[in-house]
Amino acid sequence: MPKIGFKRLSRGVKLLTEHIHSQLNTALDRVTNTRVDHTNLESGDALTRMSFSWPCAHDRVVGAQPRLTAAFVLPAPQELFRTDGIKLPTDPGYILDSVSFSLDTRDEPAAISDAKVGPPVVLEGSLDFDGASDVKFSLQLHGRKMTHFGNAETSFDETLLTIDYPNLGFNNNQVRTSPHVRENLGIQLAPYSSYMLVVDCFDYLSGSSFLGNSILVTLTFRSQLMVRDSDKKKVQNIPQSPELFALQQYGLPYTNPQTILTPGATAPIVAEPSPTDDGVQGALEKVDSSVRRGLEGGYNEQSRRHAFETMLTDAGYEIIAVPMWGNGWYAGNHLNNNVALLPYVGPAPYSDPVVDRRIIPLHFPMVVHHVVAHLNFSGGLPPSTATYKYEIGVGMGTGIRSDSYSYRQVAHASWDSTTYLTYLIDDFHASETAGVPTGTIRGHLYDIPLIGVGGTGYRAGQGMPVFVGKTDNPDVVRSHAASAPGGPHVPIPSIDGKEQFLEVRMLFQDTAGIQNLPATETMVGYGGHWVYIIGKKHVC
Amino acid sequence: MSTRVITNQQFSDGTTIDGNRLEDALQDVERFVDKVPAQMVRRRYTQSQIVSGWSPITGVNGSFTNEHPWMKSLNPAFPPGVVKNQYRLKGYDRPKADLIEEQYIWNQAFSPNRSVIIHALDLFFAQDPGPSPVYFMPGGAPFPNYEPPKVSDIEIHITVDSPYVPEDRSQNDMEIHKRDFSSEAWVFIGNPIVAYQPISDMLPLANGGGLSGFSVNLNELNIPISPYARVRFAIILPKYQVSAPGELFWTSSPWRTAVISQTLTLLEPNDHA
Repeated sequence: MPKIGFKRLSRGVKLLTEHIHSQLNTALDRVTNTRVDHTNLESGDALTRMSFSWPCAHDRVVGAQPRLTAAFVLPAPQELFRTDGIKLPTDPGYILDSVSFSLDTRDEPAAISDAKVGPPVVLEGSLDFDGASDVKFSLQLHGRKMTHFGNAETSFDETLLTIDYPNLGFNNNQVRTSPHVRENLGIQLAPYSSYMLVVDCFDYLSGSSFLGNSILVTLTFRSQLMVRDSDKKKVQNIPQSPELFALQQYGLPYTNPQTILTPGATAPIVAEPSPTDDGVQGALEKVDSSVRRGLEGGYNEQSRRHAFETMLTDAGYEIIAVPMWGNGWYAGNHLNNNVALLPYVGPAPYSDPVVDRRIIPLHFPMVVHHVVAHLNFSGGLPPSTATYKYEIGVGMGTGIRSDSYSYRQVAHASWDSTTYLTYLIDDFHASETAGVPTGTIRGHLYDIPLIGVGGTGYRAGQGMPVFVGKTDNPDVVRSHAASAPGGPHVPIPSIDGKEQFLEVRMLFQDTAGIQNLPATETMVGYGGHWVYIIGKKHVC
Repeated sequence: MSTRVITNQQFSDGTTIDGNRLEDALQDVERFVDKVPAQMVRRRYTQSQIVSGWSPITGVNGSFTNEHPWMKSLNPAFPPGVVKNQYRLKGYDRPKADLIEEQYIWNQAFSPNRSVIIHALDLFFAQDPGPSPVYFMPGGAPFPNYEPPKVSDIEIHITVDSPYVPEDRSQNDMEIHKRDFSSEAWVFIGNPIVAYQPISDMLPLANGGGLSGFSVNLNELNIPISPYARVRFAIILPKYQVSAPGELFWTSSPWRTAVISQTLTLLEPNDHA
């Protein structure tokens, strides 16, 4: 908001109410009615932390180069999303501020050895002090314009960040750089580009029989605080807050506008307040007491407003990176027999699905605007057989130490090799050379539409944003929510208003047998897949 | 009543309404409202969540035992003078009477460049209550009313490295050490009949049926972390000697008994534009 712009008192000017009471009334109205937005806050940026956790990196697989990858996008919230992919200067942007990197070397200046038949026999996870000089990594961030917005090329043509972690940071007895944070990066990221984080383990792992366990990279970036989502016609599953007035329910502003009592036309301007006049001191006290406890906004853990709100922009950008299928598989069919070790796989031809699931607790509420998946095919080609299927879903669940156990869908998509273009928003691989199946970084980004209708996103027809958060009894009543993308409102009393966690599931299946996949194709590329839950979180 | 925050100027009847003082007071209000100081924003934190987890590889592949990322809790005592941290964490070494052959640690770390608050750590050990379970612990109630057995040997650690000797784990600051707690208090869903099948499910359907196992939820931790601190959060599992009673529950591969999901929830203060 613009500066409040008080008039200056000039010497010799007759003192009038417009000099004092009117101006203080403007300030009081801004705080208690209009509310303060991010441009009028000293700290008007929210911090977003994206964390990428890989349980293991190794070099067991012939043909796959040991480079962990995570491609992601940072789409604007639905009300700010531009379907033409053109960012205007007034649109939100993101500034990458810091990167933290760590891995587990058993708290020693050593490499971690993989199992070796020997002689000598080496057990998996053993310390290898001689190998400490080989422990080195490179971390890179690349960017590109997305296929969805008209990019016919498949390479990441922009390198935004390269950080080398040399062996000196891992073989020192006194100080090692695990974890280590680099800050003040100041790299601008855009909402309509896609990005790829690469942890290049090639120097460490290639041909070495070492392991990189518990690799954790966290990126933090800043973006402007935003107006939170509200209104039952615009947000699914948002709590009603029935004890509030109708115009304050469903997340609408909960304010207590105040005004200054101004003296009459011929009344003297006095210091002390009276029943008909706040006075100079009373007016100042009103403004002072409206901010004395600090500006209020957002939600508490039970999705309730804290107090009368004085913050207009009380929501920040949130993106949660959820790792799926990351435990060291390279399930390209024949090159490594790990297909047989996938969970639930039975004797060939195994035609039932296999599913990975992640459970994420809901501590503070958030509003989900988009769900995007990175399917990683690094080291091979995407599956091409028509019998092969992926299915990805995000749901909200209840059941932790409770009497009932239930879910509601939040986002869902399913496709095979003939229908994948319906959801595909980006197609990339590391080089322009088409058809190079092995050793290449390769993947797809897919839009997973939200339940319901009336929303905006990469695909037309996805649902409106979905509120997810714990509540107490009075807030069990929620705005309408659907149960499938494009579907109508469906009440589900067993879950409505009771969610405790988000659950992400990723399925793949080949009805002709999961071992049916051609040798050059892979179902889980090196480092695994990712699902991103994107939306708004609230100040608390 | 008096003005406390925005301005020092006070006006009372019987004193002059001095133009300079009025102007000072108005400028103080203008300055404040145009740029509210960070400390005057009561709600100035937002949450961040670090999510990790995987479905374990379900078997041994040649010489690959596939227990990664779990690694042994004790580093060897030799070569002498080379190993700095025989004990990788503090307070977890159990007496041999427990018949634990070894403990395994899954350890992650990060370093924030700004102060943060650790709000919660949630550990989910999701197991299959269905008829053909892959992830489960023997010794509990069997299918169709699967419940995991009662164990008390999982440990959860959150520590911060010493800023002066960051590589000496004996000097780590112990923020959280949860041990010897009964898993019975942290079962995901207490009623196995309820756990077997949700009333309303989501897609895709999970392989293992409903949702059983443990959900250890440490909330409202309120742990302040300094800028550039090195934070480590770890889980410890036991591996028992062959034929020990504990092996009945944890098997010879305790890292394969559940699908793991872990979330560390932080509160991060808003930043300057």
